[in-house]
Amino acid sequence: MGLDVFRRELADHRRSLIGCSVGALLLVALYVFLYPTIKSSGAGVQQLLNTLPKGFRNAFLPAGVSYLSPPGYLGTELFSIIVPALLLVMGVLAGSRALAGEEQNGTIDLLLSTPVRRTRLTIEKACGALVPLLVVAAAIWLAIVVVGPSQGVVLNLGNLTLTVLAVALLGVGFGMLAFLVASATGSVGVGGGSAAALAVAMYALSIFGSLVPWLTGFANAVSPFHWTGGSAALTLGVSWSGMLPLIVCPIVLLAASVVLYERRDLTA
Amino acid sequence: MASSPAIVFEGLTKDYGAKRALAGVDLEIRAGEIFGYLGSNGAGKTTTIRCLLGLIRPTAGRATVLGLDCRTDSVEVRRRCGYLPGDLRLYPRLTARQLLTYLGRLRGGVDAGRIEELARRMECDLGQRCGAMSHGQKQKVGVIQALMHDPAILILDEPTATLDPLMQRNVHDLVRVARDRGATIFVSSHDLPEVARLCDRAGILRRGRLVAVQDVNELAQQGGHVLSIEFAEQVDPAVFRAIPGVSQVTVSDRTLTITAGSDLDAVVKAAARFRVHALRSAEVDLDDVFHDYYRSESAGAPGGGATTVDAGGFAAKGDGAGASHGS
Repeated sequence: MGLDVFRRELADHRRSLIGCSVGALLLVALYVFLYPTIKSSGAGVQQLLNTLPKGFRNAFLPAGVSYLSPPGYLGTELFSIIVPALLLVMGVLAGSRALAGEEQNGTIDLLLSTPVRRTRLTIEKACGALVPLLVVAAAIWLAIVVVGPSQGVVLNLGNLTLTVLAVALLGVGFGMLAFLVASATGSVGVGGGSAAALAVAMYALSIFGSLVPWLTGFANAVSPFHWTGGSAALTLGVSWSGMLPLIVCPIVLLAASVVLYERRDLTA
Repeated sequence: MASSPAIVFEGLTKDYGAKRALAGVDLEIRAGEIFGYLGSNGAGKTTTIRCLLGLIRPTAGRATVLGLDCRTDSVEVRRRCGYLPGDLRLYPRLTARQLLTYLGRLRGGVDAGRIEELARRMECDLGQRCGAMSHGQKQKVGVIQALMHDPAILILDEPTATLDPLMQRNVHDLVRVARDRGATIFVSSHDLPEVARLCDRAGILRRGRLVAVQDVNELAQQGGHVLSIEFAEQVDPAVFRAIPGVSQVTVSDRTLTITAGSDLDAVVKAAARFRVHALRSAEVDLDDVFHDYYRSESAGAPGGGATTVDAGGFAAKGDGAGASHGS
């Protein structure tokens, strides 16, 4: 009995994994190939940015980050919203369905009539659902490293690795939240919906946090979108104070899922 | 049988909120028997089975399988059980072979030859995707996965409901083979003829309560006999009504129809006083007995007394079965 549930879950995500990886590759390539054009029209773009109110500009382009530098450009275009959103959606969809989907489809009775511990089932399901995020993140990392230099996009490898990892963990975290709520309630919709709602709220908080001075401290501490370093991460790296909760949260959520699922009456 | 019981329910109770799905079921299933668990939809059959497999937890009481507690030793219980769910759902994207291999691996490996053998027996195409299967085909896959690891305990929830008669017989044969091999089989069903054919003993579950547990043959006899006697002349039905154990006396023309208990002596002697043209006897079948348990429930009269005569005359219900509630 070796990781059969994990491998089954992974196999179920084969198609979406391939699709998302290819999509991510194309996205990265698109932005990388646009970079020379953006850079050559540089002064104009920077002027446009300067016309924005300072707080608003900081929301998307933090102080100390130059939009026209490779890390500033990719950080703003890819890592402020598109890539986090992609991984987050992947995570929430897969996480909410992994275990609760079996219950909603009525296959859980068959699965749990075998001598599999619920603890093992929970852990393998969660990992099988969310490991694909790391694969897609790795594909993004690879694409930037391979394609980037041809267009003059050369990045600090350490910062790139941390940024991609942080964004992947963001998706894993919200995916685990969806997993927890879905498996504890037996409802894919409740799990996915609550995780998505919280993600939107947290994103909004991180934006408002940079616009409203008295909110900044609170938003920075609470919002996972700030933990990842946002669009500045490629330039400035990811702080440990951000990385730590990104790593700890999924583990805590998984532990909670195990405990709650162990005690549940499964719906027929 | 000297050996200890295979499955034991002790005061098994399950509440869903305010609704009581199971109300203190006490039952022992003997090792090596085929036990029929009878009840209409919603009586609590599936709830019982899901407690047995640890999918839900009883509100009170306990269930044990081969001495193992179904809550605390659930994994070991499931290792020893094969289970066919009543509402069987398969993974639509997997072929039957992939599904069976997967479930087999979760059981620590199952001989592929055994799967092939069962598939041949059930005429099941293992290469077909579960999503493309008819209900009956899925059910075959379900039967195979329940049997493939030769479990000591076989739990079947409405096993043949969607199978054609030929396949039903196949399943029954497989169940008997499993029993001959030493397995204990727990079959839930609302289909009486099936239980009568297949089972050694049966329990009747009504609204979460076990109202009777009996040998299938005894259960059938509980309703006694339906006698139809054609006389040469008009007879006074009061003569027969006075006989203890006789119920549902009806007369149409010169034919008397009664339901008698298992002791027919007094009836025959009473009839012998008249000139008898014809006498027909039929045992009340399990179906009638079964429906009696429900009829008395809906009539609100547990036990005998109520007389129900179907149009057509040669049908008898009521006292015989109703009187022995709670046995």
